[in-house]
Amino acid sequence: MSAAGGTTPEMTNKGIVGRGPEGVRGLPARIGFILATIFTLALLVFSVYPFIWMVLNTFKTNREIFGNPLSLPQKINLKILSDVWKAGKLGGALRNSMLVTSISVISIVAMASLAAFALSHLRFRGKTPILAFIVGAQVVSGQVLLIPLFRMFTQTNLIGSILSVILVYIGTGLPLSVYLFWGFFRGMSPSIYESTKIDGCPDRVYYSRILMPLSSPIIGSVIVFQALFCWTEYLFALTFLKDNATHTIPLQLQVFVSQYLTNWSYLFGALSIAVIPVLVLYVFLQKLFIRGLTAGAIKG
Amino acid sequence: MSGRKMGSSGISPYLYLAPALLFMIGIILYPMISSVVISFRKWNGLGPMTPVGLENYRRLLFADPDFRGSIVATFIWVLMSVTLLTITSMILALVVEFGVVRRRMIAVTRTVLFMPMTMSLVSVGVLWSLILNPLLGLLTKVLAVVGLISQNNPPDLLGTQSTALLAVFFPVIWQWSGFGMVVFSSAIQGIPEEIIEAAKIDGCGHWKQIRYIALPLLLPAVAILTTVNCIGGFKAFDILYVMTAGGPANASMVATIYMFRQAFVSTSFGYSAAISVIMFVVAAFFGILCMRLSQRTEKYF
Repeated sequence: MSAAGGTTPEMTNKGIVGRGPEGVRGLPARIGFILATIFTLALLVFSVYPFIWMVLNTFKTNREIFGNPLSLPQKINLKILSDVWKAGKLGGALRNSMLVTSISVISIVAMASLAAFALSHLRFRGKTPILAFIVGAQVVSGQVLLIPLFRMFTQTNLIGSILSVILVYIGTGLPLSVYLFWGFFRGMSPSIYESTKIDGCPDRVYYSRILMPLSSPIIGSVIVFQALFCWTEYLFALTFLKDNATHTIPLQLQVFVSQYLTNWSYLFGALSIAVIPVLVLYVFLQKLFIRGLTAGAIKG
Repeated sequence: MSGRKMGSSGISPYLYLAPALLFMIGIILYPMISSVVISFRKWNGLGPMTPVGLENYRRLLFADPDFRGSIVATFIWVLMSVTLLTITSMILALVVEFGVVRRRMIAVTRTVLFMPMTMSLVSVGVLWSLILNPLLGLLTKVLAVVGLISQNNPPDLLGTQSTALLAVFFPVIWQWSGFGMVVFSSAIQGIPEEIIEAAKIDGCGHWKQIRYIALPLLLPAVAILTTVNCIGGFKAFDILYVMTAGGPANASMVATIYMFRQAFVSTSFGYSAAISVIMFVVAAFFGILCMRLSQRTEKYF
């Protein structure tokens, strides 16, 4: 839709062509346009209604929940949210998730950008095998690491501590992050680096004063991708964090569901609390989210 | 790599690399090797390990019908990821790029369709377990209103062996189609304007534009998405574990869940490690196959 962004009625029936003003007019185009619009609306409803249903059911009584799924709750009682918050020990889980996510993401950005700086700007022996390892490591799945890591953490008494998942999230997050930074840094003009070098600027100053400030797009992508990974990761957390006090949000949600199996509005409430904060963040930072989440697929 | 020219800095490159490399070696490389070693052992997770040679692999490949069943479930899952998910992603992208009329609406539509991607698979699993729940579920209500099922005897899709795997895959389509849509959308936007213009001058309608221009030029994006979905399909664990835990009667027991159960329910860690090694090799094989195919399509265009 780059040629014309018109919104006047007479332009709408050209729009189905997608590009340019050369649309086919007449009845078939109109029907096509109407069908496409209906189909689009259906997809939007399909995409959004589960969220709306979830929020509505939080405030419904059991009888209302079993009734008409389209009806609105009789009254909005916000107390249910604080009840769920307390019953589910969600505060502790939120704190754990924030701690795990922030430490992991900060470490990943720092380590990955440093490594990528060396790989893209400096000359040294062994660069090719290191790059090959970084590319290959992206294919490794969590399952194949699970048992040895479980053994390692049992032996070092880290099992059950949130440090265990932090270490794993950093380690498994690095290959893709280094790769993304490396790709971005390589695209930067070498002349900036060379001229700072001639002026006697040390590498660490170039890295912190010039390279990183110029790299905010890729830093944003890596932060979003890794933060969402840490925030939602389940397999390692399930295996390493046995104690309720160390649970992250996905784990605690799962525990809550098994405890309040038929307390429907509680379930919907816990789910809403887990889902809505990220959703709100997404609404404000949607471009960053979309770019970050698809970074791996499009670059790789 | 002579190390003599400007930019060579002796030991300092290794200092920049050291933290990342140490982590990747400690958390990825060493455990991978260790996994292979453990797969030749018998180990209950606590006591000492006893070497059993190829016994774990022999049992897995020749004497374990449950493993065979889990492989079948895994391949069905991967097949659905590669085909269904790629198709739904493409439909979304075509709808957004060619079907939405107003420019402002394109951005809104894309934002909304991508929205489920912000949820954790655990949340998606819990939400869709409730949607598919025959008693209060949204889906049964909708289907009953349309008249496809009777209100009095709603089907339990997750609790029925023949439908369980498909029922768990449905939320995956709901969540991940938006991801593929973005990949396709950026490919569609990359199609040069002149080609479309030329086609229009030659009298191509919208359908022909999609059929003969957009679709062929989207092949590289199909290849990328197929690779991502294939690798992701082999890794799938969370949503299946949350929604069915492999049931009913092993109907949705994919290899990852079987592996997890062998380790942490049956405490056969050596056996479980052998499963993970086999699955890693299989996934790597198909992942590389997909990558090769996608490189070929890129060369072709």
